[in-house]
Amino acid sequence: MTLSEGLLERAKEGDLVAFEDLFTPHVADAFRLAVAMLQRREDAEDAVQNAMLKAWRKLGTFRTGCDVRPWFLTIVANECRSLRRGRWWSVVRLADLYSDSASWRDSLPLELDLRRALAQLPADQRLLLVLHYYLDLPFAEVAAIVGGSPEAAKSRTFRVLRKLRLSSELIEAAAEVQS
Amino acid sequence: MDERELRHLFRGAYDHVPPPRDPFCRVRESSDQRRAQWGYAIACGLAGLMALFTLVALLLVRHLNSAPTEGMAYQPGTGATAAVVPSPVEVAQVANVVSERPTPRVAALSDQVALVSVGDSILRASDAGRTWRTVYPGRHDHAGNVRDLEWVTRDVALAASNYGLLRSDDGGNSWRLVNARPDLRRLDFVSASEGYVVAGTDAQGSDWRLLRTDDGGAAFTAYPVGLLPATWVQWVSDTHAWAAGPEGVVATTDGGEHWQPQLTFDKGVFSDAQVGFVDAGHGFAYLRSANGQSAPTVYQTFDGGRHWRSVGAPPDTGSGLHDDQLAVTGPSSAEIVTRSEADGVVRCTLSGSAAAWKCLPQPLTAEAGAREVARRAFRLLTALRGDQVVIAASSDWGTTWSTVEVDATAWTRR
Repeated sequence: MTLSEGLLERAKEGDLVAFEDLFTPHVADAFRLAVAMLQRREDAEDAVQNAMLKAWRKLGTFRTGCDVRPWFLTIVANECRSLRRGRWWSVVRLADLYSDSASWRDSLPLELDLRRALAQLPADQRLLLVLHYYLDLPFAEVAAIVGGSPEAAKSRTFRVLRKLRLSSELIEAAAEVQS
Repeated sequence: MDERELRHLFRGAYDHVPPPRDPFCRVRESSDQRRAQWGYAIACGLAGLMALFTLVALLLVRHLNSAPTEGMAYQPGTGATAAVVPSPVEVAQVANVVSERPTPRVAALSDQVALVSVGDSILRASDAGRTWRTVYPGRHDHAGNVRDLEWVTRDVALAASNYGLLRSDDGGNSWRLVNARPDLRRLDFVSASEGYVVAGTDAQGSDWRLLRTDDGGAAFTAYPVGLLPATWVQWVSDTHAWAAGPEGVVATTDGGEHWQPQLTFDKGVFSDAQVGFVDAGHGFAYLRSANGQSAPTVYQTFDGGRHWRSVGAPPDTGSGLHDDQLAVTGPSSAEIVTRSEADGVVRCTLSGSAAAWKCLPQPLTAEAGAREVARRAFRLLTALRGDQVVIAASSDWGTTWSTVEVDATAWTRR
């Protein structure tokens, strides 16, 4: 039994310390995913905390031997979707991403373009780009989170990338990646 | 712009967002509520059970009073195997203790409960390091020193001192000597009964080797792994373990039946080696030289040691050998706390795939080696400064620290 499996078994039995040890390595990825999906730091924190609570409650259904990360990121992604659905207004204030204005001022125009273009995509499409290009997940893991085969995830990702309405430089970048 | 640059752009767009506050707070709240509900359910259940037992007992007494007593025999219970708790050794019996420089040590059970050693005194905190209570006063002559501290379970904790192995079976609240061998250096217990230690008489580590116990530390036997000297051992499961020494790293994947070399170095290049794994795949090896002939080096692996890559190391600041130690904080992150030339405490972190150490001076000074332990966002750091042992605690990944100073006059002036 690996350490992770040991932690999983203990967490399933209700050991909160084991649960935290098991999921702490995935907090950073989960938060990055939520920030990119929701574009607001407070909402992202909310989503990760809710997702963690759901993971804690559903852990009994998780099969030993499987990878925790895609399972947990799926919960985070679903939580982000439901947070967005629950908010009838969807004005995205990009500056909300940062608690300090210095970071916001330091942002490069290209990065602003990317954030703006991502914000205009439907959540499911944004999720594909974030998982592959931001969290560096392989398409097999992307597919495990969004559903479908790795090949389908790959072609959908490239289609979404083509759709990104970015500045001319980013369009060039997208074209190069697809080629 | 290639795919790598596009990824970089994604990171630039979002990576400046400050990390989240406690992501587990709702789980803890839910757990507390559930515990309260369980408490109510258990109380109701117990009351019901007591009523049932009373009824059964009344019926049984009535039955026994009416049944003949002949032919009844005592049936001994089958009984579960008792937990191994070694017998204590009288501290007073251990007369000849070679005094050594105090080395503050630290071990955390959770982000609330931790132990710190000051000489051979052991302190315990249960409030994230804010207040400390002496749970083991040490020897009267203050010649003792704890060289390693370890939590094994919630109840069992161990301390390797220069006069033997100290053990607690009540969550670190009381301690007793269970083995009087003075050569124990480092501990890696896998259960309350089975454990592995590094032992040796030479302070520089030239004769350190591995020992094993299966009776909770009452007795040890030699445990050869094909590496001498061996300065570190770590088990991550029943099957996977690593041992390290100046001449390399060896590993087993079959519970110790076979040990295979993974990293090999020429004799004399390094003097001390450590491994730190978070699971069977992700880990680090940290190698240092006593005479400064070789720069300290950290190696990282993502596949259980089949492949290692060098990720450099913080600059060697001349901390005492075996003092600064690598704390593995995640599958691909680690920290080393060391000292600057001006006796400032410096905390160096490695995270992600960048393979670059970032060193930040901490608002602490230390004249002797500093040690750090990490549990999630919790960091606990100890260092010796003059007559004081400084204990610094942080609950926000080391961003802000609160410090407590413990008088160590008795140890530093002996």
